[in-house]
Amino acid sequence: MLFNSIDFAIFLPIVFILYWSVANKALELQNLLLVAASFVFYAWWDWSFLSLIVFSTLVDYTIGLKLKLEDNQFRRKVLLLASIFVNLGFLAFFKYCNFFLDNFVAAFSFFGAAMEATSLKIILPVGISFYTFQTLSYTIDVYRKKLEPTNDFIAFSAFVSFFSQLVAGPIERATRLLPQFYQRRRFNYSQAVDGMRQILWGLFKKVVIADNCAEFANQIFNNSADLNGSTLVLGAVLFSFQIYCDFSGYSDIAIGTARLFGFDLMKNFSFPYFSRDIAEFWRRWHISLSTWFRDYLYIPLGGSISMKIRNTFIIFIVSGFWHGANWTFIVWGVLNAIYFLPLLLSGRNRNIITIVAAHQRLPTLKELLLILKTFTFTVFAWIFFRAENLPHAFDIISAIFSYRLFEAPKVSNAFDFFILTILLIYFIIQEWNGRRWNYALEKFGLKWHRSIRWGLYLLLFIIVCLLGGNKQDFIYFQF
Amino acid sequence: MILFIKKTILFLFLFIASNFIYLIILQKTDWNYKKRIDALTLDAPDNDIIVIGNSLAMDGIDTELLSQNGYQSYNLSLGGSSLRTNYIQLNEYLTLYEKKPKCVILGLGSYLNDFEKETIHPIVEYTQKDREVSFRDLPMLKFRWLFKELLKKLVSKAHREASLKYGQLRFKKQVPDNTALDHNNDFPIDRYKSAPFIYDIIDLCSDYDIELIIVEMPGLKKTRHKKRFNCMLLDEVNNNGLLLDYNNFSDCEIFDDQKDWIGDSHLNAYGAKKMTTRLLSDLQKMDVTAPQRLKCR
Repeated sequence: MLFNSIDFAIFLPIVFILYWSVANKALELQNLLLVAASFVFYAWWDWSFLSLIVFSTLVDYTIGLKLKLEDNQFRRKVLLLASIFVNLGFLAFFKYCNFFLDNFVAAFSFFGAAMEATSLKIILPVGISFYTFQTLSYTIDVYRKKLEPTNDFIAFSAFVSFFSQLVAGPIERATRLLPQFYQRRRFNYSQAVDGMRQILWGLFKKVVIADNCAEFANQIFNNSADLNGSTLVLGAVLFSFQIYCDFSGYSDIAIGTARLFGFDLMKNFSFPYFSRDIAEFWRRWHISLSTWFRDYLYIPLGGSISMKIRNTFIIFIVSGFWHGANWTFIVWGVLNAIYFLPLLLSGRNRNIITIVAAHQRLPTLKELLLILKTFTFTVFAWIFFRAENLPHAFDIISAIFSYRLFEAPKVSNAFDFFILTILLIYFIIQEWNGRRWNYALEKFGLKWHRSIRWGLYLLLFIIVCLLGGNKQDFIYFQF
Repeated sequence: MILFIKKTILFLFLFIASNFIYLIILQKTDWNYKKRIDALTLDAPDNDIIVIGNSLAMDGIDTELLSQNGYQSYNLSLGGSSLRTNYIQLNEYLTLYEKKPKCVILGLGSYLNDFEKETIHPIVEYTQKDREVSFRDLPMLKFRWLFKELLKKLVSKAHREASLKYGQLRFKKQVPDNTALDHNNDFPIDRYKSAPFIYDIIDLCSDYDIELIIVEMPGLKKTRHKKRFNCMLLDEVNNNGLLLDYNNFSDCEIFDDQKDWIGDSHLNAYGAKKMTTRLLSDLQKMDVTAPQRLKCR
């Protein structure tokens, strides 16, 4: 079920009313309803893959309990490895099997040994990369004795399958989210209203900005061979907005939906395109994944300066590979590691902590130039992320760095592009205005008269309905 | 909780009210909507010719000119409509009005149309009798794309100044045709032969003894066929469904690349006049108002 669908618009109020009326009587009922609703939500896409979630839940719940009883370090490690093996095994099979098979055959062919292999027809279960990492965080934290394993199977099932963040995050830590399932939630008016506001802003980002950018970006990337450099740059910039609004829009809807049910999910994006260097960008982009890698991979790898270089490459390559089984994602990861390393090695990676122009209305010229520089580097890396394969990416880059860069960009539907430009300008202003908050609409207009504020919300909702692009799947569903 | 639900319901109420306002605005300003309402409420029409098709026919066939030359006509075509929609519209017209036309002209463009498309035009679907109502029928969801047309009218004088005459939508705006002729283009007769809804329209016309002429509408240079397709009857048994090709190098010589187009193979008012004059001479040769006289030029 997609967040931007009529199905979800019907599903959400039904679950909401049942949750706060029938299930409100007891914690167990609340959790049980959330599990049932989450299974319906997931089964709407494909019920057969529900078994994977159930199996993953059973494995990690059992291993968690066994870890509690086990003092022998070796046996504890074996239990942890069993959880990692099962969870990453599913991920490896469904996501990476064909990639390894194809590259294996290609490597053999390169050395003259002709091999024939047929790619397996494997469907990638939606959200597998997200819930796998979430359950892994539970087992690892229990193993590290940072978290007491739960005896409450329903609460644990709700934690793994909670529909608001099941298929595309934020990837929550068990230490943060699981305790919320232990306490009966009570309806909080301000929390619910804030949730609705965040859902509205998420819908605007996804349906209006991302889906409209997608139409132009797809057209440009799919016909890149016939287009001049400036048009390709435009395509890359539009894709940058598309992917940001698509994913952060999804996260906003997920966080807002969770708030309607009394949960606080972690912030996943914090205005990353206003970053002044790449280190800041990575503290603001897909925060739940970046911090997951930091806590469960980077810090355990530890080490000296030379180890830091190795570890940075490992983190970024794994992060790229997490996104998909394609060399383009790996190159995207390597590129980001190259951007990041100079800052890390010179000790400047934590120089910029607060948001840009925290106490001013506008950035200084220096800040603006730094933002533009960081954005340019990011856009360049997105070309690899979006391209079909490496030759496609290199073709686009060579076309960009040619004399045709100085020709005027060509877009097929000038009027639609004009509308999109206006929407993008509004979006950037609104995001800039709200950069100190959790999301751009959080405190916007709260001091205005209610009728004006409601008028603004209604207008935004109408724009979502009338100016939304052709419905596109969320990009991160494929990861 | 109660307060939250009350406010949510109020918000939804305001949204639904906005939908009704949007629908009223569309009914007053959108060409397709206005035409649809017009076509359903004609006062005892006395038309000899009915034009059906999509925007190519809606813009490109001047029914006023046909009427002035002895063929009382009405242009029923709608922008973006499928052949299935054309069938529904024609069926409605024939059921609704007592006086049946003698000839139906179906204007199509094989270079632009998807002949297999099964969807019904949202405006036609919305205004059909006995339709099923669902959440998707909210005007702001159903007629989303028309909002951009409304905005175009706001910003573009040419769009504001377009007019509806005898069902034809006339634009005076001129967008040059900068495309080039393609010497490999042949007439795609198989696409016509394999389109099921064309045969449904032929059958419908035959049931009412109406002659059906199917016209491949002129398009931009890149779409034109190097050689005119010799016309043919798609239904030889009933002697109906005469297919004429006006989108070829020689027939399209009448058009001025700079002045007769409004973009994407659509003719403006000047181009439509030329196209209709050409069509008129063929209609006169065939004498379409006399029964069973269809034959090739």
